Amino acid sequence: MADRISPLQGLLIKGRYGKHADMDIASELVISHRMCTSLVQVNAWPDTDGKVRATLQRSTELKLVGGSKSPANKDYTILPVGPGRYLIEAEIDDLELQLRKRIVSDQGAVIGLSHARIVITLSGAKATWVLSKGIAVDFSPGDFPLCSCVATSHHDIGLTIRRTDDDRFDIFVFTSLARSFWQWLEKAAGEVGYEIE
Amino acid sequence: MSGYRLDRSDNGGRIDRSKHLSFTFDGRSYSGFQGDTLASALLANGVMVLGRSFKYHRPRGLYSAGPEEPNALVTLRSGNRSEPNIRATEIELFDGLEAKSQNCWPSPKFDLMSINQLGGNALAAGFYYKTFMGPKIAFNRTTEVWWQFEKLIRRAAGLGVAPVEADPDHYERMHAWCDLLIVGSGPAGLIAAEMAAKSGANVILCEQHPLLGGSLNGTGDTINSLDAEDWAKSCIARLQAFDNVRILTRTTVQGYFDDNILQAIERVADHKPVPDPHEPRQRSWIISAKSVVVATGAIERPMVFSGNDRPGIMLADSARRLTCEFDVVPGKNITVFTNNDTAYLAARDIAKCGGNISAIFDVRPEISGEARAVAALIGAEIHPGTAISRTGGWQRLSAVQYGNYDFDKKRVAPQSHRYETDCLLVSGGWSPAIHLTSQFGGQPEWSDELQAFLPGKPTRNWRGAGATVGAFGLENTFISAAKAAEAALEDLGLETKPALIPEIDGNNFNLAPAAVFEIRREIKRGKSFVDLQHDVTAEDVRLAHREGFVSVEHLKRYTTLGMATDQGKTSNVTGLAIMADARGEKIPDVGTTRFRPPYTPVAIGAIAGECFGHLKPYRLTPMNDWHCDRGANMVANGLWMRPECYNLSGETVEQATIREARTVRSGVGLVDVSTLGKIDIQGPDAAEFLNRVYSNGFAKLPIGKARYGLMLREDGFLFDDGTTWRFSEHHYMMTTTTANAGPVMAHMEYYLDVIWPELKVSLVSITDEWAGIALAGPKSRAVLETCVTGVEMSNEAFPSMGVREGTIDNIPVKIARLSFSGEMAFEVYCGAHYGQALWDGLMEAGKPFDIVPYGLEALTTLRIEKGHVAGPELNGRTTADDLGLGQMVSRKKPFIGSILVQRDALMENGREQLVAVKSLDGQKIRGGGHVVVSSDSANPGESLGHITSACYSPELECYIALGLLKNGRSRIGEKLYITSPLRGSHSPVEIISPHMVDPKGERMHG
Amino acid sequence: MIITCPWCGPRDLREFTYRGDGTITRPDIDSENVDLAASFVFDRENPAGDHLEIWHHGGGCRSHVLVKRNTLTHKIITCGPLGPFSKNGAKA
Repeated sequence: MADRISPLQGLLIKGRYGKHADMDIASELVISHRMCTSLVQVNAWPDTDGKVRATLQRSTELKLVGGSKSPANKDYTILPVGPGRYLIEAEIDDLELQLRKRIVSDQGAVIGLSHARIVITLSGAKATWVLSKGIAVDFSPGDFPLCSCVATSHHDIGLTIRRTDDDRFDIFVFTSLARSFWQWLEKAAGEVGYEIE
Repeated sequence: MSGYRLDRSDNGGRIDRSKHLSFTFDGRSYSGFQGDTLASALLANGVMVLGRSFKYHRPRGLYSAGPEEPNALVTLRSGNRSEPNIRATEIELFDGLEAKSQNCWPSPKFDLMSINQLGGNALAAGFYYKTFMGPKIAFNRTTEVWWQFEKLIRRAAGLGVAPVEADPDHYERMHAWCDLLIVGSGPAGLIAAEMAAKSGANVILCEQHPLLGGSLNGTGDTINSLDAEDWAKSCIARLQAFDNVRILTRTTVQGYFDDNILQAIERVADHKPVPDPHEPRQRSWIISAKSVVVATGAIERPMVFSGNDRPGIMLADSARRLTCEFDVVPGKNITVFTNNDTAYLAARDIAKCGGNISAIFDVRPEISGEARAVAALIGAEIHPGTAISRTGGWQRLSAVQYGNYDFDKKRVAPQSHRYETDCLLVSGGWSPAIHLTSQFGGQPEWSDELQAFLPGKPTRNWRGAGATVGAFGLENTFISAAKAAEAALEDLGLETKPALIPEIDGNNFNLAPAAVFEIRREIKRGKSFVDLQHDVTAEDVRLAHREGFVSVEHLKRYTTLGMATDQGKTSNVTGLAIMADARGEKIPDVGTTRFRPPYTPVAIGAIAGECFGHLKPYRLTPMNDWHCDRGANMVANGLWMRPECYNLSGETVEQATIREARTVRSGVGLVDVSTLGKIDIQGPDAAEFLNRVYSNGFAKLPIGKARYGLMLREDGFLFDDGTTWRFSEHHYMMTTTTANAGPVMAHMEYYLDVIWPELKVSLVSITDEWAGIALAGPKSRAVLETCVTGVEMSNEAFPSMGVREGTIDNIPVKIARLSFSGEMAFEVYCGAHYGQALWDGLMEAGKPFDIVPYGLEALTTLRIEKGHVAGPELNGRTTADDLGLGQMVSRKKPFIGSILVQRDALMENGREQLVAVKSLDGQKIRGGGHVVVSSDSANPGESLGHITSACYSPELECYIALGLLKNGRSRIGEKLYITSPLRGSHSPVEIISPHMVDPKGERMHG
Repeated sequence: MIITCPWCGPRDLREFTYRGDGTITRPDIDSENVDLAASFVFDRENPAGDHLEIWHHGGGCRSHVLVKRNTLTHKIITCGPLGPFSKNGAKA
């Protein structure tokens, strides 16, 4: 089986960059990235939304509480990205197949997006500061608490952002736009200094 | 006589005497202190003439101490960081600073271009509409000589020169949210900030200067028994301790936009020689505030009189600031000219610091007791009821002439007395800085009592505090600020503790001015400047009135009053007052012009932020690096980067293209088509929906088949073409052209949300999910036969337009037998992260067949030869019938565009139709060239159509093109010309059918 | 400018695209009436005041929003949901 290649391969090299790069000060921003083992979008219709949510909850053992709350456990994360629209990331590699078996075509649509996004993770005290440079969403803990997720954009680059911990965010970026987004992000992060894991 | 630095041993105000800085101005070295501005440092060094005025080249000196400065514009730094028109009052001095004066040559003191002064009245306002022009008579062009004067005058007028090198610095944007944004950190802002901080609100405090405190700095007032400045320091210290307060200094709020969004520009590194590594030079803050307190204070304005622009004449309060904050006294023998009491406070504070004020000329016949007491204290003689009639001095003030002022006649008496002075401080009243609150159209209101415009009723969630709303004097300021903060906090639902108004050490001055704006003489002589930066005089305003330009908007544009970089901060109100007088009306009836952001000049880079180098993001396919490594020139196709061709060493683009296209037609080639739009369409109503969006039938598309489809707009014109594949009963994938992927998606989403919400269809963009490779040429099937598993590749098992799923090198792939080029071809898709691996696999499999990669140029050449339409033909003005695709417009079903496509205008005779042209003289055919009958290139005549796509055809071995030609289909065989006058070409061509290669389609279907 | 998307909450204008008049109704898919079809495509009121219009939240949830906005003051008065889920009412 051929290897998957991420658009950021070879660009995100372990090390310390930007301000304080060559100094012995702890980085206030750590950046890493990953491809998704499985990423699937499930779209329901108004009369089938209830059933689809039930199926998703059963399959992932997560509880969907509504609004922009994005629940997660060790193996699954569900990100609600619109009315009747759910983005699911999973550690198993055949999520699309599994869900297609459980959600018939007149109940909902199952769309494989495992190659359509890559995930950049920002963590550290300066994560919110750097994110706020490019995205017009209030990421303060009060307005964007743990497990919040938002579908937004940076210029024409669509992004889905989720808070996974106190100072930690997952950013889902379109694969074809990943390098362009990274070009902005590394400059924005350079001001505060960052470390790549 | 000139400005000088006070001799003090202790540190006064802002400057730190322990830190010496050296700088140059016009190449000469000077020294100053940390904390100086360029203006204060130059004044301390006795430099009085800082530049020459815009039009008349009159010597000019420092006028103020703030951003309203009209005269002291310099060019800061050099080379690629050089920046013109920076006010010296806003430049924080740093070691090694280089600045140059502007608009004078060779120097401010000796300026050859002041020849413009001899133009006198010929150069009055609007002169360029009336002079130095004449008709250009054909055989006698002597009147053109007048046009030459324009060039000379233009070169002699102006401000600074912009650099042409790229800006080496970078700029950022930042988004912030808060409960309360406070603009200005003077007394009003500080009180409001502390109240808000204590109540728990999320506060952002913006201050345009490096130090907080505003007018509290350097004032002689006392608060709670502390010097005002010390009280400010303690308040600031308390604010800095709050977690919920963000203080931004060197940050000017520039614009107030809809929905309480304000933009502020933070000058992060301008006070340093260069920004630190990785530091942005400036940062643009986009602040979304639930509530705003505008505490921007007020700007002093002058009175206008003859010769009022001589160096040494400046605003009174600015002189106070220079003396008390920077230890620089602007003159050795200072006089004051005023119509209000604040000038007395300025005089008091200057004298307290050590300056010498010898006389005060006050237009008012009655002077208040408090003012008289101040004059007595400082030893200045008061001349009540007098006004300055003119000034004297070569290149700097040496004396003034004053006389009695007649309020009824509004004239100064001709009998005047001479008074020697090297510095005249002028105060004509105060104009609240209402720019922000007026930007979105809120009408300012005139206050007769204060002789000033105040902000009108709020139409957004803001409140004014302090001098901005006409609350002058510290006590009034504090009360108004507390009121504003209380109201804002109540709005936010936060608890406010009642404010503790600090005690002010009695200042019972009435600060309202007399209604005097201009001092006119019985006989008009000399120039009285209203707008110093644009050299607009009081006579110019009256000239505009005489010529009928009486509205404020016309006054502004005809005279250019208020249009310079200072935007009339010290001149607008005076100009309006003079116009009102000319019209015989009251000032509020004349009104104001529209205030617009930014408040002060902003570097273009700060507005661009991170959009440098390219304005839009770029999109790359998974095989991008392979294309680049092969040396392909990458070209932009919308947001995508695509390889033009893969030139072998020594090959031109055209040669590579011909080679690649030939190889495809004779063997096999592969091209990266990952950029095509791909949309996943699912649902019980998917078939019905496709049938409604495409003009040809889709309801009966069999599973495992793809179909080419045309999409029309509602008005019947062609929108896009593409191919839709059917995977299962309810599952489709639509492909679109690269450029239209976004618009087609948005088009379909609109119909599903707005027009037919009852249809159960799911749409998701999967352009990024799938990498796409087209394998084309007679040997393409053979190549796939060697590497595909799970798919029967024979012609019968896999017919044209079939869709199959299989694997290549264990990579799951979807394959459709589609042809864009007219050859046998297949489109192979796999997950994007496997894209490069698939490309490698196909290149490997194709080796025995001499496979070559081909790029955009060859792709285009092949489809032009085939007569296949694309973007240039789908230009929004063509119909299906125009392009010879009329048979794809169904008459049997309704679809988007089905009704209006049949309208007369789209069916009438004479429409431009798709044809091809073949060059008859071996010359390239120019895209965009027009089709004409005439062989005379100088008189091409009427255009019959134009060329849309052109290339060299390897198949036909000549230059060809596709084009649109009136009644084209009936003109096949005709010999016409393609003319392109701008490019100087006029080529003979033959009109031929667009299906130039394999018209029967045998190669595709074999 | 801020538009309040019914599903996502208040968002910056940059996430939205203007998609036209919100007062017009498209004739039924089966209608053959040319005048109605032409009116749907070409006829528009151009009010100086409150205007009902459609915005697409393409930089967010990709739903459409029905906005009542004043064309003189730019003030947004209401933002309502459109699309299949709007019948269900409020936010997801």
